[in-house]
Amino acid sequence: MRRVFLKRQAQSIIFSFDENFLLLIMALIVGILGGFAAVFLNYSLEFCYEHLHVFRQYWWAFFFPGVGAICSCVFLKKIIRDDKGHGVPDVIYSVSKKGGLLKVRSIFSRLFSSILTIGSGGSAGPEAPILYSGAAIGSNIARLFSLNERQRITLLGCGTASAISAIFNAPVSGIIFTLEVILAEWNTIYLVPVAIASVAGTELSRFLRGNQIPFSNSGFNIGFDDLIAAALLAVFTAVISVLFTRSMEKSNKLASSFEKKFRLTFFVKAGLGGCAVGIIGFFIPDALGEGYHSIRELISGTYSTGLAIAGVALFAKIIATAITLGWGGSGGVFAPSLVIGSFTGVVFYRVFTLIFPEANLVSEGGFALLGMSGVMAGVLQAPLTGIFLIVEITGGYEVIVPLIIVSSLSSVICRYLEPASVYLKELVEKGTLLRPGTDAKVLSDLKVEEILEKDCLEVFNDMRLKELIYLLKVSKRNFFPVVDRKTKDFLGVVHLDHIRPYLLDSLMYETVFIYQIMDSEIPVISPDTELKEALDIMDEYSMFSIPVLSGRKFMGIISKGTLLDQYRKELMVQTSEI
Amino acid sequence: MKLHINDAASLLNLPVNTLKRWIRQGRVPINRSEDICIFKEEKLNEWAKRNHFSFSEKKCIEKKVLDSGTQILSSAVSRGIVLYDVEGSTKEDIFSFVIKNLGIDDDENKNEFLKRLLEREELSSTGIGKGVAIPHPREPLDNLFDSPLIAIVFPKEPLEFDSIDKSLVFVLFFIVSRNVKEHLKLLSNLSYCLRHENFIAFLKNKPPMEKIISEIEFFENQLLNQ
Repeated sequence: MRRVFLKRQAQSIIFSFDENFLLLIMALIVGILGGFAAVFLNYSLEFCYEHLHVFRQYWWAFFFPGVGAICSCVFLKKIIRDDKGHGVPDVIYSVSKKGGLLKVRSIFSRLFSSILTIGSGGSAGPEAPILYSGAAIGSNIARLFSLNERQRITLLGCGTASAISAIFNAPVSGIIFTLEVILAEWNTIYLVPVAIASVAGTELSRFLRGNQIPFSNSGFNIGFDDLIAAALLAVFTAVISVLFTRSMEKSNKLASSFEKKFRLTFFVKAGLGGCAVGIIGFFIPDALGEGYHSIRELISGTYSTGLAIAGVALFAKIIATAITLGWGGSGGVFAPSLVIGSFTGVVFYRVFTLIFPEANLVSEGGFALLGMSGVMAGVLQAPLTGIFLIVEITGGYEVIVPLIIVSSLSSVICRYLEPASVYLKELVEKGTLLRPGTDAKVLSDLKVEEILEKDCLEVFNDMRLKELIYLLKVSKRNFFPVVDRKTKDFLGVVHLDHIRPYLLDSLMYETVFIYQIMDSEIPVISPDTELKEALDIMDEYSMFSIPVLSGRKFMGIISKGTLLDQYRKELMVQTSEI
Repeated sequence: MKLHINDAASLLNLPVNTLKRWIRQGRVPINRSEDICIFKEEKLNEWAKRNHFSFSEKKCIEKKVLDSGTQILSSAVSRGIVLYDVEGSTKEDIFSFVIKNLGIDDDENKNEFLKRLLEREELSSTGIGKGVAIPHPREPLDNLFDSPLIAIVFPKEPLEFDSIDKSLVFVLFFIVSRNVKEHLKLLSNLSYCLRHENFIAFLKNKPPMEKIISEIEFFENQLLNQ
């Protein structure tokens, strides 16, 4: 009761204000709340790091990630009962298929489970869980005020933008990531609310944590040699990105086949994965956690020297992340891509200077930055996010030219090798990636019911051709459904094109019955059939229209002509600004 | 402005289901509470224009009037005139007399109308047999009348009309329409009536206008329910 009352109140407020103005205020609120979520997660992770760090030298420390992973997935699956997954694909799915709906419990679920996973040492990123919380906050505020889907998606985007902005202290990246990856629509109606939320999130995090640049550096002096090296680096980062994406996939498959083979319960599986990560981390501590500490070392150029060490750390991080996420831990790929990227950059720098000792390159830290940008752009297939995030979180505007080169090249090469990014892969495979203004989205939004034409005249199977001729006068169609006189069940159709030769023959009027000229073996669809499927059937049988049956009763037909009409309207409305 | 959702959908020429979904998805500037749409008219107009939708109330009303045109013949007769015992021995005499009585102001229009009627007769006689003729202009005059009408003429003496069955004409239906489509619709309904022998017999008594109208209404209803 109380909930309904609350909703009514909220609605009456809505009607008395201008909608767009209200949306901006709500964007501000979502931005602040998203910021809080980010700051909370960040503090919790730092707390865990400080208190667990001292035990790292003991051999039994490898149990930490295992226990963390168990707690994390038990919490997610049994206590809060939310779905597993790393968050971003779920948000994109919600945007494309469910009009931005997310559960209330999603605000907390991933947040806590990722603290358990990452805090205990699992190799994963905290960004996706925060982003998920932010999105859920936006979506649920929209639901409270009964906003429409477009507004709900806008607020969801506000949530993700503020989460990214707050955690990295990077307002521009928050906006760009949201528009490029989550909404995939560069529409001005989204821009202003998202920008407000992003600024609110950033300001909140600055207020609580101080205005610090996460990975500050002493500045770089970029020369011409660096640009050429950057182009080469892009190939390198693209390969690493694809390797990373595929190893996650492999690890996921391996885990599920293990699960089946040994009949493991889900938390035993997570525990095993966690312990494996712990063992890797015992030898190479850089592979553990979200990895911001190692990034700082890499950028400042204080990471221990030696090509082999950096190379081993790079692959250890890839494997640790793949195991953590594939075996049941909770977290994202954002931070791991940054870590892997900076290792990639450093390894590339060390190899390059080994082969061309006379090359006049900027410092190792500079290449760590470029590597981050390249892997980021490659894994997420979001070049703009790659460029702006790195510029903002390192405060190094001087590197923007090579950043653009690495980022765009890397994402192009990755797209060639892996058509869908790590976030979209699952959705593309299931056919549920529906970006606005695309054929798939238009067809999935339109329902058979909406283009159903009901003005067909039904005829009975025992009618004579003569009676059909009379009907021709009043019918607007050349398509007559035939139904049984008693049961009214659908039997087939009479298509004018098929009986044209008989129409002018008066001898046949009296002697031919409908059941003799009807076509009873044509495919039919039901009102719930997806339009895409209906169109495929029509193409296969080269039909122009297809009957729609509910059970065995005829409901109407859908025709390509009407579909085109509606399709065009739908496309125009979807792609225009309101 | 408030409208029922069904009316709003028909104004926008959209299926109701589509409009409901668009409102839910926020693609159209309309708020909805239950079945009532609440919107600002100018905002919706602007939206409709940008998305190339036709949105106007006038159009909707016009459409309704056109759709209800199943009684097109009887209403055309009721807008027209019925003339009894018209004197004259040639087509031209009769035609000029009818035109005079139709209330056309402009002399130029009168001449044009007569010219087109005669042109049509030159193509082939409009005496369609059984003593009936249906004179009409070769091409419809589009701005002479606001709506289609029929003038029925009973000549004093049966008329030589070069009919296809050589019969003398005792009744003429002047079909005055604004366009070809209207003409065909009128002609088709008239032809349905004339197909019935009892209608011809009924006409031979030179009945008064009201009776003719109600008889035609009867046939038009029959046609509708066929």
